Amino acid sequence: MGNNIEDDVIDLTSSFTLVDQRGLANVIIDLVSEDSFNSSLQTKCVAKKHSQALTACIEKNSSGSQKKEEPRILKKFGDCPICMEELGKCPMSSTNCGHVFCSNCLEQSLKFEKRCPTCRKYLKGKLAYHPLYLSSD
Amino acid sequence: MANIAAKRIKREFKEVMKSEEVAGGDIKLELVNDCWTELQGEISGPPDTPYEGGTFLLEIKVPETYPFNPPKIRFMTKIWHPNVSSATGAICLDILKDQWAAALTLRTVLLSIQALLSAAEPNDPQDAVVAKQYKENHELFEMTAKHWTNIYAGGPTCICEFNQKVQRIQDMGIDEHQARVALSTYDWELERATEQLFC
Ligand SMILES: [Zn+2]
Ligand SMILES: [Zn+2]
Repeated sequence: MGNNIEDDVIDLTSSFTLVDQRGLANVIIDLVSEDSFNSSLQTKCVAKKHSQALTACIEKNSSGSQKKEEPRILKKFGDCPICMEELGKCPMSSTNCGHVFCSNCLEQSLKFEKRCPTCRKYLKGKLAYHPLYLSSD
Repeated sequence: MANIAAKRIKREFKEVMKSEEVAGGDIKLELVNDCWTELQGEISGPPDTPYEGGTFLLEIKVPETYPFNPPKIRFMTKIWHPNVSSATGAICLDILKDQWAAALTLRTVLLSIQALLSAAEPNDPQDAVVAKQYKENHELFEMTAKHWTNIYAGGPTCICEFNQKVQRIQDMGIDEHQARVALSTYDWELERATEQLFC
C-alpha cells in the first residue's frame, strides 16, 4: 500500500495541472465519505495521506516556482475530466460544487445521473451549474 | 462505439502507459480489440496480503455509454476473496456500480481493485462462502487465498497439505478445480468435501 500512495501522488503532480489535482483530491475524499466504500480505518488513513501529500504538492508549486508557473496555469485550465480534452477550447460550465467541465460533457453526464461527475454531489435545478466565461471570450 | 467513449479510452490508455504504476509493474493495461471496447487489465497482489507475488488478470468491457456508465470488470484469474466470486470473477465494488463517477478512470479503478485486495469488505460480500470463512476462520482463509494465488496467479507459497488433498479427490475422478472449490468451501475437511461432491 505504501508504495501505491507514493506513486499516486507523484503521478498526479507530473500529469495534471493544479486545477485537476484539486479535483482528484476531492474524488478521493468523497469516495471515502460514502459509507459503503471501504469504511475501514486504513482507507481513511490513505485518504488523509493523499490529501496531505496533495496539499504539499500544491504548496510547493505555488511557492517554489511561482513566476515560471503562473502564466501557464492562467492559460491552461487542465483537461475536462469527462472527455479529457483541454478545457477552454469549448464552452465550459462549473457545477455549484466548483467542478469545471465542457458544457456539453456536463449536460450529457447529467442526463445519466443528476450528480457531479467528479465529486458526486447531488445536482438539481437551474442553479446546479452555470457557464464560465473567460475574459478572452 | 460512441465517439466520446472511444476518444476517452484512447486518452486513458496513453495516460496509464505513462503512469508510475505501470513503470513500477503495479498495474498493466492491454488492448484486446481494435475498437477499444475491450481491454485486459493486470494487477499485482499487494504486499502483506495472501495475494502477494500473484498476478491477476482482469477483463474490462467498455460500454457504449462510457464514461457515463462504469466499465464492466471481472477477474479472469481465479481468486479467493470475499468481494470476488470464486466462480465467475464478478467483483463487488461500489465504484463499479452505483458510486461510479465519470471522472474516475481505468487507472483509478484498477488501483481501487488492488486496494480491495488489501482491505476486504466481508460484510458486503460477493462470495458468501469466502466471506464466512474470512470472518469465522481467518487463518484458514489466508491459507486458502495463498493457495489459490499460488495455483492460479503464480504466487510463491506452495501449501503441500492442500495440494495433496486436491490430488486425493482428483484420484477419485473429480476435476482438479472442482476438487479445490469443494475443499476450500468445506474448510479443507476431506470427508465433508468428498461427501458433498458425491451426494
Ligand atoms: Zn469535456
Ligand atoms: Zn463536484
